[in-house]
Amino acid sequence: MTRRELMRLLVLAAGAPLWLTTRTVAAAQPEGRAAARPLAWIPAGLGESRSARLLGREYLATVPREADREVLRRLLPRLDHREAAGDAPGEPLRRWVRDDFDAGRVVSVRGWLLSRTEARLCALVALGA
Amino acid sequence: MLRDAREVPRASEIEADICVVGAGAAGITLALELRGSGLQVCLLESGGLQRDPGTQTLYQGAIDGVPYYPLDVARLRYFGGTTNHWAGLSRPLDALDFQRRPWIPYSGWPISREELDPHYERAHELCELGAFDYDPALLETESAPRLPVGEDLVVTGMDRWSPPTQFGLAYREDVERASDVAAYLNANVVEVQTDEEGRLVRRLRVATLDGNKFHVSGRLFVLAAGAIENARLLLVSDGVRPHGLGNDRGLVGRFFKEHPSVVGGIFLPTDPDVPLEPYLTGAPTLPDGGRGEAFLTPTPEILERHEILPVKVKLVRTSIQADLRAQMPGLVTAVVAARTEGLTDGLAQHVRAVARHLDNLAIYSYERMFESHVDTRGYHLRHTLDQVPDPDSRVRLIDDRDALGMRRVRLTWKVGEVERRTVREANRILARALGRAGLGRVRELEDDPDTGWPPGMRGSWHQMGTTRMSADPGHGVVDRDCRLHDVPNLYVAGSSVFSTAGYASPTVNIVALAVRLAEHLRTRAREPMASVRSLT
Repeated sequence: MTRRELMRLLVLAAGAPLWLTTRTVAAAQPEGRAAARPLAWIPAGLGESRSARLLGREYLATVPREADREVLRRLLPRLDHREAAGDAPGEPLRRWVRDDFDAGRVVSVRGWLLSRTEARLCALVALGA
Repeated sequence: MLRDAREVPRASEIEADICVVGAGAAGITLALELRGSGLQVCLLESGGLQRDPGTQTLYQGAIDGVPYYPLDVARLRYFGGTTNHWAGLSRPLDALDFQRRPWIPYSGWPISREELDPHYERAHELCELGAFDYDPALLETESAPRLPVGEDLVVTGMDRWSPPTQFGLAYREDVERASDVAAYLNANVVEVQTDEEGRLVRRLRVATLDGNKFHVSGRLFVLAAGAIENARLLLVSDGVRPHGLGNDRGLVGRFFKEHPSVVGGIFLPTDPDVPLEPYLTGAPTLPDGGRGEAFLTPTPEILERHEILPVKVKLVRTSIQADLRAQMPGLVTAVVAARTEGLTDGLAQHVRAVARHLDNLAIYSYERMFESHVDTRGYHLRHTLDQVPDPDSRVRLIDDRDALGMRRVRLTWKVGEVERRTVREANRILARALGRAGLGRVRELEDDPDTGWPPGMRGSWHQMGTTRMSADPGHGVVDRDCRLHDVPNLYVAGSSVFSTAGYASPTVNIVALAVRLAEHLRTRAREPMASVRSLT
């Protein structure tokens, strides 16, 4: 399966109509609305369809020295690691995440305790958006 | 025998071998265990067989420090004591709880868990807890095993549930039938009176709310009135020792502790159908017929490495957000995919994979966008923890007096930074264990800026520590036998002797300690008075 085919499948599996609806509604919301209606202990930023981007922004706010795509690329595990034969798609990532948690490389982003790899990938989303 | 103190001849003196103040879990256990010993036991209970508002007001007092329950609500003052409203959660203290730990000042008991072990089986009978077996494997089923979180960060532990046993109801008939136990209802002990040196208790001064007064004398005396009232009784008994009985070093009433309890985080499972039954209230019945439930707790090695307190984390099913995973899988993945066009091929794939892990977060967006409040599966992480013994967390007398002329108390409950750090670290340790296993993610809750804690931090209705047990008289009030360091015929039963308290609910431990104390008293009460006077 090519990357393009995989991506198409993911988008199809995502339920595009609902995603579009959500994105449309999200676009119609003033930026400050979420902050104006906090839902007690429900994380405001993570409650938006821009979850990953917001997570990335938050992470970068606490670690500004990483607010650079090239810096993040260097900090992330080498991306030229191709999946070993027989690996399920995404298995290297799962390994990085598992290793992060195992080694205690945990960061708090808006209260979510994520592996550092997850946070850095979200930061890349934020920088790329 | 059950008697009414209001009918005792005024100014008379009742004699017994052993006098026990308070008919709660500890006092009733002592009475039951001393039956048939050949000793006459006098059990004095302030209240009657049911709650009485007039008697309950004797518990009123002042509060400062961390907010606490009104003192006349947090405790019950009638036959059966506070077991009349306990929930029933039970677990023995862990071996670690008895040990000195360098990072916890004043930690450790002068006895070990092994010394209490022989008494837990009887305590389990009295609390109707089933077998003295806390192996969490008992809770596992083929379809709902314990969480595969490894054993290096956190482990699964187990509580048992008592029905709950209300000691007044459950054991009233036993006490009534015991010819060697005289239980007096409506009998308020207002002073412990000693010899001229204040070194040996001679008798108890008793008053009733309708004005009757008499004394009870004996050889050995036990205060079993609860952690706040035990301290109060010692402090008001200042007829000879100006600072109160057993308080020459000013330690009576200090080291008050609770089990702080707070929802410190949220667990959002990757798979909403992950079987968590053993961890939830209402877990399947145990093979021995008892009831239990599991929790997660950091290992002793992790506690030491992070220099934190024992803490258990209970999963509590809650309504967090709409359960839309099944309906819109990959929502965030799709969003992110659209936003990562500029990324290189390999990186985009990884980003999408991360986003897929975050899909469950997207359900929040549904609730936010559509203002939907559909319930779904998420879990509060309720932390219940020990406290660092703090001499400034304390009970002391105030000038205000109750209807019997006895000075009331002020409770100052303190909760320190180590406690707060323990919750933070426990969240992080859980996040590691659950994340590593691919089970889900943890979110820690924000602090209330006024308290420095997530909203809702409170005590567990467990008052402890005010007459703590210690080998060194400079660090506590009673010795390893629960006897006052300075008063050889006066003992204390109950959670006021807890030096450190772990996270285990106190009742079954109170009962085990009382069973052990009864064994000691059986021997001690037969010794010549000259020996009883000795502090050795």
